Amino acid sequence: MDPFHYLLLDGAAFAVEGASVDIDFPNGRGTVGGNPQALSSIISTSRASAGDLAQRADGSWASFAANTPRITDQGLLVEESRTNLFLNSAAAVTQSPTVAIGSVVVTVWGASGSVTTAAGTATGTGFGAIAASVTGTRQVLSISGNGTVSCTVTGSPLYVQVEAGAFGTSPIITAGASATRAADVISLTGSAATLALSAKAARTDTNLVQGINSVANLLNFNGTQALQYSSTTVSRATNGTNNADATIGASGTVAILVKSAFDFDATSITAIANGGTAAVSANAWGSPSGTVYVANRAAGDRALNGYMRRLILGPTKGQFDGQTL
Amino acid sequence: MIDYAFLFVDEATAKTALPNFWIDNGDGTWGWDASRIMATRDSTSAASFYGYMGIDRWDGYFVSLSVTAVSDALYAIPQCIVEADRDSATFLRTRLDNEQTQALDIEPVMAGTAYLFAGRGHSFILDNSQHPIGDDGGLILGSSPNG
Repeated sequence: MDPFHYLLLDGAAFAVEGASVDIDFPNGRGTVGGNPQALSSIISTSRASAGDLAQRADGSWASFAANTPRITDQGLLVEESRTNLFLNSAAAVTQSPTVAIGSVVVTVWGASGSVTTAAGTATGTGFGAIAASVTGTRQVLSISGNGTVSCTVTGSPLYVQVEAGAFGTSPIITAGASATRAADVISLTGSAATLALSAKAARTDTNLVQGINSVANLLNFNGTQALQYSSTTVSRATNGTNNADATIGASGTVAILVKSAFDFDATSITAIANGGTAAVSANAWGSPSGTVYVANRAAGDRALNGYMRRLILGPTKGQFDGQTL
Repeated sequence: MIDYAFLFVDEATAKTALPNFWIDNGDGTWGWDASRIMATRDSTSAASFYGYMGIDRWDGYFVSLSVTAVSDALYAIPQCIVEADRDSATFLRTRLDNEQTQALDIEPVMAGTAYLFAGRGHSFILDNSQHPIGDDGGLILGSSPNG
């Protein structure tokens, strides 16, 4: 990149005018109060596990140390805690992990290779062949009786994962024991946190690799206020009560891009998704306080389980009308 | 990172001993700080925390906690059985005797760890009420069903 081009991109020019906080995760840049700041001074990350992965747009994987945000050119990946029961997951050989009653997701990544699942001592449905793909091919098993699942490996898939849950997550590297990726708990820090508490408008841009999974936070103000996905809507919620729901269309498709905009003050709340019809409620936003969590909440559950691409906050209601980011 | 393993009688005792890691979500719900804690949840969750002793069975509620530096306060908690350094994959302090230390097998571990006690060959047991004891006599450490 030539120096002139670099100067244009590296300053605050990318930021939406009037934004108090603007974070462009894929490009690793942000502004607070209109001034460029390093992402390390805008967000704080807690995740005890190490070597966790996030995928780049070209399909390759980046590995991250403990307590570092998983940011690639796809955005900031925020996921709940999961355990991979498949041993030596990056050098897969045929094995029979033990699973428990409930949903279990088997995922195979790579340019080639496959895994064929079958009931071992476990009982259930959904077994069969899974051909590897770069973005991961998922198979959801419904396990009705505890026991083993036979996983027969053919060829050399890049990663194999067997995890309890209704949807799959990013690869967790295992060796001789099953391994747990801790939850990503991301929060705003310093001036960004202060400005977020007084925000009256927000816009978000997300890439939901696995679709929308139940309630997923976009921004959580210590539980008292939250901007979130809920099923097929974006909404604002207080103590579990949805106050404005804007439909964002079907969920569950790989790589859903959702852009959302919110306005909120003492008189009303508005939510818009993907340029659709605004949903308005007459509920007051209230006065949030405490920690501001990005794409999750304090205990690490109700995570986005996808990539946050852009997060923009503003001090004035209505300043982010429209959906162009 | 420094990893601590605790064996409590039950979840309530664990919450009392580790109050800073039992988190208020602010909306009436609470949970373990999943960014730093792995805890036994219930007998039907494959994400539960299981460990095995080669000789003795230890029932209870098992918690693994990861922090960035050695904490005398955490190790001082009587139910802390192991303090381990992830980078060197070694025990720093333990309340286990040599025989127990040699037999210890904990699974799962935090991703990115390379402890020798992880997956050392004991049979994998999800639930002591529904699965056989390992061939080597290995028995569950922690993992109280429905705990």
